[in-house]
Amino acid sequence: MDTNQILDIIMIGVGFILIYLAIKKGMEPTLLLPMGFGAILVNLPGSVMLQDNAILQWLYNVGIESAEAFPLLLFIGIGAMIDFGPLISKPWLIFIGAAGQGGIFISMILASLLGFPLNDAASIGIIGAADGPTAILVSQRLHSNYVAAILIVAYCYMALVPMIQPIVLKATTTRKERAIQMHYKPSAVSKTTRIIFPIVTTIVCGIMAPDSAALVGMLMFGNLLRECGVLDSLSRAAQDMLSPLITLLLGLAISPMMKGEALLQPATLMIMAFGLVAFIFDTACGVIFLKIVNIFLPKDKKVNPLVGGAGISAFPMSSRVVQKVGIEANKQNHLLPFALGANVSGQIASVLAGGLLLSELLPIFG
Amino acid sequence: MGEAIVIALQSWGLLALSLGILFVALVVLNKITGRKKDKDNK
Repeated sequence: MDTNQILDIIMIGVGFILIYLAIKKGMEPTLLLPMGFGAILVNLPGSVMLQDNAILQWLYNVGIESAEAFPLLLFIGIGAMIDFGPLISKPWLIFIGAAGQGGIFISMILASLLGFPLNDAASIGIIGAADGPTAILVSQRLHSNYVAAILIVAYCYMALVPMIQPIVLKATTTRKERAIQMHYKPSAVSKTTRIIFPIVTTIVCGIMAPDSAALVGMLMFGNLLRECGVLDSLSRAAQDMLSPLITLLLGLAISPMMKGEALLQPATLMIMAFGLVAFIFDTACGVIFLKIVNIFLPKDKKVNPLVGGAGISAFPMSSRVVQKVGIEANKQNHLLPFALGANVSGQIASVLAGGLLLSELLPIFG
Repeated sequence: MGEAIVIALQSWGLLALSLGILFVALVVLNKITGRKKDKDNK
C-alpha cells in the first residue's frame, strides 16, 4: 500500500468524522454532510469522481473554478435573509464591523511571518472573515495551495463560535464592563432607507474595492429583493430554495479538493491554528475597539464592550453569544439589538475585507 | 514579511474608510427620510 492510498483511507475517515459532526453534533450540517460524503466518494480506491466528465469535478469546474458561481449565488440567498434594520437605526455600529475583522489581517501577518507566501497567507487570514463563500472566493481566486483545508477549517470554526467566543469575551473584559447596561430605544427605519441602503453599499464598496463588487453586489441584491416589497416571491425563493440548493451543491463541489495528498499536509495543522488565532483576534479586536471608545464617553453613556465581539460575520450566532454572556453578568441587560447591528455590519465588513485583499493581491497572483 | 504588514494594514485602513463613508451615507439617509416623515405628518 503506497502513501497516497494511506492518505486516501485517512480522508475517508475524515469524511466519516465530518458526517458525524454534522449529524450527531449539528455542526454546520448543510456543508459538512455533503463535504464529508464527497470526501468518501473521491478517496475510494480507483475513484473516477475526479475525471473531467465526473459529476463532482463538473460541479467544481462550473460552480467554483470558472466564475465562483456557487458562493456568489449563495450570497443572494444570504442577503435576502438579512435584516439591516438594527444597523440602519444605529449607524455607529458599522465601525464595530471594521474592528471585528482584525483577526483576518493579524492572522495574515502571522502566516506570512511563518513562511507562507502572500496569497496563502491572505487566504488563511480570510478564515477570520467567518464567512464560507468569502473564504472560497478569496482562496480560489488567489490560487491558494490550501483551499480545501481553509474551507474545512473555516466552516468548523464557524460552528464552534458558541464555544470560542465566550472564552475570549470573558478574557478581554472585566465583570463590571460586561455588566454595563445599554438601553435600547427602538426607532423605525423607513422603507426608503431600507431600499437605498443596499444600493449605496454596493456603489461605495464597488468603488473602494472593485474586486468586492461581485460579492457585495450579490449580497445587496438579495437584500434589495427582500426590502423592495414588490418581489416577495423572489425573496422567498432566494431564502427558501436558492440558498439551501446552492449550499447543497457547494458542499459537493468542494469534494474534488478533498483528495488525501492535497489536504493531509503538515500545513493543514498550521492552518487550523491560524484559523483559531483569526477568530480569537476578531473577537478581541472588536471588544478592545469599544473599550477604547469608552475612554472618551461619559460615565452614563458607556457602551458594553461585549457588543464588539459581535462584529464578525457569524450571523446570528455571534449576537446570541454576546446576549448570553451579557445576561450572565447583568440579568437586566439586553444587548441583542446592538449585537445584531454589529453582526450585520460584520457581514458587510468581512465581504469587503475579502474584496480589498483581492484588489491588493490579484495583480500579483491573479 | 514587510509586504504582508503593509498590505494587511492598508486593507484594514481602507476597510475602516469604506465603512466610514457608509456611516456618513446612513446618517444622511436617516436625516432625509426622518425630515420627509415630519413633513408628511404636518
